[in-house]
Amino acid sequence: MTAVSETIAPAKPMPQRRTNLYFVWCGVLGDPVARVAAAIIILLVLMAIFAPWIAPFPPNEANPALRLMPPGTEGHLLGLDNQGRDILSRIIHGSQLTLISGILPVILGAAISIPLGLIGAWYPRLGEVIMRVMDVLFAFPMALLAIMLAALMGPGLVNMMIALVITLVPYNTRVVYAAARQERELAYVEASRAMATPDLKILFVEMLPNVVAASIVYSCTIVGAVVITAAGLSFLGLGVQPPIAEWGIMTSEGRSFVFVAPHIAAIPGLAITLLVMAFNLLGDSLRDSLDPKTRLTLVKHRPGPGGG
Amino acid sequence: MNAQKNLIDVRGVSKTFTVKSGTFFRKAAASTKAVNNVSLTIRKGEILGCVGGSGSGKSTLGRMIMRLIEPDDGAILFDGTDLRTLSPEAMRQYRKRLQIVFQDPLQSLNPRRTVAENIARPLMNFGTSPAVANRRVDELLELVGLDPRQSYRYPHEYSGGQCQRIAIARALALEPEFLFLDEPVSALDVSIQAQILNLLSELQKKLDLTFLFVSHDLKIVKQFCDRTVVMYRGCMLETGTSEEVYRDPKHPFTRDFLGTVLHVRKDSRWEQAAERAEDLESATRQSEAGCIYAGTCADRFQRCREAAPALTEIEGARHVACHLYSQPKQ
Repeated sequence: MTAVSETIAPAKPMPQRRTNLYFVWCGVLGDPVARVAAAIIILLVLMAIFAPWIAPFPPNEANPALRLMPPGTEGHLLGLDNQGRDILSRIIHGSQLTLISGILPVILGAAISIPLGLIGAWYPRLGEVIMRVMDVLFAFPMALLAIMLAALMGPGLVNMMIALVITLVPYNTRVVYAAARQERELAYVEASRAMATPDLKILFVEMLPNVVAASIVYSCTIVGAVVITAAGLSFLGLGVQPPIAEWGIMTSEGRSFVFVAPHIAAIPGLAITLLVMAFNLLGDSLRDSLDPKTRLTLVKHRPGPGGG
Repeated sequence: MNAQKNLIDVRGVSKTFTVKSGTFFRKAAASTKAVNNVSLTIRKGEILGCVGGSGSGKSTLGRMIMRLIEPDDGAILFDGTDLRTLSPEAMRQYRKRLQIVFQDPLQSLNPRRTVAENIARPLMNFGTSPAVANRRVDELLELVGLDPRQSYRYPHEYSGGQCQRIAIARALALEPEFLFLDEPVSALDVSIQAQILNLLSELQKKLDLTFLFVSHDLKIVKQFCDRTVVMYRGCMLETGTSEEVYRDPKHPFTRDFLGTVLHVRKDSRWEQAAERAEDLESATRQSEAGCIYAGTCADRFQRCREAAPALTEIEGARHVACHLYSQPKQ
């Protein structure tokens, strides 16, 4: 506790209030791994936005003469697939749908499960009902449930995303519920009640910031699984339909040629790995920079450009 | 003595906690009588101490006064109004007048809010504008002896004693008349304890506050409180001025409880206080009908097993619930 008195004693002129965003900024910039992860994600997003301009070929333009050619072929940096389409162009165009189908369901899922988990933890009876419903969804493996729902609703990008959201809700709800149950027992919640804070305000103003970090970190790590599940659904013909470029479809299409031309499956596979890894690493760093107990050390001991 | 009116009048409150099993069809699996038919009054401007071992229901009693726990039975009059009959909105207004300070100072502050936000929250709940609330936060921090310029910091950057000061500042934000102090110093170092107690008694005089001070430390209660209530397993066993209860404990439990305070004997060995304390906690109740302490009491006799003694007045302001005093001496 000596550190505390040292930091409080000198009355330095300090910024009035440092926001969460400031700490996320410092945490990410100060941590080299997170910096790389953030850079990869930003690059992928830029690639998705500017795909039509940066891709050397249209995604579905086939050149049958060069089919199955390996990476390094003249004019086709990453080679060509079984129909003679340029893989680099397809990767660039495919990043659009891959990012959307990987990130949007996670965000929507979190938006549903955070209130569900919080309310469930606050009202025990309702919580029991919510969690038992979640248990029913849990009983199915993630991919199987998504397949079932997507098959019920019919193929298509929107239906696939709805199916993914429903599949994700139980996982994230359980994370939030567990965190909120712990939080509810802490004295500051009782103090909030003693000072006449309305129930909903306790939940969404006092408890939410303490609970949401767990959910953000979890959401970041699950983006990878969602990309893979979305790819699986597309492979089964329940999601994005070929010939649209999407990394999952590209991987599964390349599957049949894995001995003849392994690069067709390997390159989009590597792209997925890169995306998943970037989100996982960013999730780790976010956890540190969102926790008020660890984030001060981030600012102090890591001399980043934004720290001080 | 009746010149000062009673601020809080607790009449026969009881609370039984039930452990339930099963998901949808809940049935009681076990139950504990946390507070059993307790009546007490707290006069305006008084510091009432409440001592007892763990599980004696002293915190539950305080929380029932705050209406953080609903009593099963009885009435709680605050300034003549029964808090239990109030509508939620009326109770909201009454919450301004009753506040609480917790045992664990760090846990009682929201870790993701700055100190200023933590203290401003009760003000904002009652519609104070942010600008006014900010000024008030600075005043409050100065009142409890902290630097207002550091109020953008987070609670964990402060030490335990400083956090307790912040918690006190927050409790005082709404200008309450009554503070429930739930073991406010038992999580702190001895040197800090004295600082916090001094601060509390200063504030009590300056702001004309009424305290209910819950503690398991009889020595602190003796110095800090005007009157003391001794509780054991949800029952009130003895009341009186703190000085008298400490100097001349009447109830056998109070005597035994005083004996659990650890001290060194002349031959520099620790007294076997821990063993005795364990005896106090683990004693099984002899019978439903008899005195709650009959199982361990050294002075028990036949009547103790048959009927529970009522809290009766002996000499002046002392009340004791013990058959030793309720009948003519044998």
